[in-house]
Amino acid sequence: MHDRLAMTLQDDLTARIVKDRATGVLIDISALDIVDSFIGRMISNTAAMAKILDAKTVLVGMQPAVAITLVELGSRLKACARRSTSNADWRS
Amino acid sequence: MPGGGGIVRATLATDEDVVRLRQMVRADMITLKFSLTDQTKMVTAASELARNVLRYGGGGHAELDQLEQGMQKGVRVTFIDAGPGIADMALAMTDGYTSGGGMGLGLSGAKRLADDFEINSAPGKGTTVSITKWKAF
Repeated sequence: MHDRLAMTLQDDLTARIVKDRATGVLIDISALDIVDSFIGRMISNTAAMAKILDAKTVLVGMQPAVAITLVELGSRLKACARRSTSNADWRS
Repeated sequence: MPGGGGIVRATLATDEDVVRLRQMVRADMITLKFSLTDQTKMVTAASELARNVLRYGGGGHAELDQLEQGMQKGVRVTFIDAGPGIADMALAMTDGYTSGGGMGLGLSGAKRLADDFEINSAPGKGTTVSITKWKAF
């Protein structure tokens, strides 16, 4: 994933949350084969922005190798819940 | 002790270069049949250090090397910049990035993800960081 793409995603997503009055955001990172501290911060910030806009963020699709690496990297993905499958019903 | 085909040099000047370097490190590790977890750790560490070169080093380059040591093969990536250098090494090696200020260098994270980690830096003398991952063969 291109890094500048991640920042565009942040802008687009927050604009959509406002426009659609979304109460929830699902971030699917199954396509990311690495999450370094920069990308981790992008995800965290996006979730924090969503929270300010009163939307709950759920992170799905984290690859196992990414999860292991994030723990060792010491990353703390705050402000969003994590689900192990994309079938999570986050409307309930 | 060098193995493989010699050192490969990669410029680090743009975001695209960081992406390309990740792919190069991934490819080398796949060639040496590293596990997916080890690949991910090393590529992530390389991404951290490559970003440092861009953000703090004013650009620079990386050198990829394949090593042999006894019954092990390794991939080593060295990051070189001629930037301002690190004034306070102890501070630089703390987990600054989790403080939320965005000023962390990711050095301590990269060190945890790699097997071997070496850093040489001084104010006015630039910075050289190398990380190595080993695999038994």
